[in-house]
Amino acid sequence: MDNTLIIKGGELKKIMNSSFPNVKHLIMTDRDYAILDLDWVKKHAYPAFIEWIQVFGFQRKIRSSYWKTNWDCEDLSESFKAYLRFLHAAANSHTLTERMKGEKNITNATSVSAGTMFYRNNGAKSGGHAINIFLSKDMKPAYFEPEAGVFIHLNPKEEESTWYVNF
Amino acid sequence: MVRKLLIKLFGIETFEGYKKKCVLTPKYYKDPEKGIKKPLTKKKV
Repeated sequence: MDNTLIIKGGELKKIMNSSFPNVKHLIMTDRDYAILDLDWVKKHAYPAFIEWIQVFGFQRKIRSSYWKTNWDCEDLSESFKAYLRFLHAAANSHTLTERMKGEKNITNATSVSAGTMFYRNNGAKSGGHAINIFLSKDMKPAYFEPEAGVFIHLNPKEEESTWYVNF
Repeated sequence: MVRKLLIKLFGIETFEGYKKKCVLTPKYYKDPEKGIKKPLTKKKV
């Protein structure tokens, strides 16, 4: 039985709207989202993601992070999100027809709760930063810095300055 | 060629080894309200 914690797209949208009152671009393209275990994201998925991108020559850290001049914060956060979606799709690959014949997925959720968001550092007017956004078990936003592989805290100014969220 | 590169860069002997390192099964939170068998109640006649 699929006992995975899942959130509907509409509910996720409400949470994002209340968390980021000034968001201008709120993009949600799926019907529902399975909620990833945050401890697993940090301790297992992120190190595996770093292994994965090493194929593209990112094996050496630059200034203690994995960014390059032509591959920076938004590239890193978008690719981590894409990687998690790959894992979700690979682990839940049975189609409706196959499921009708008795095959089972871990979850039939159409996507996974990994998003990207853009905000301004400390609410500054210029410059922005991209990170990943997840949901905690109690459906609160959890911010992940993919340059360092850690969950971070955003202050109220930074939350208010968020202008883009994409799940 | 690819195999040699994998061995040189990451010490991975086979593609299967690389796949094992990178293709993980996601861990999701469980919904405590799902999967609980509700007790059957008799219909009132």
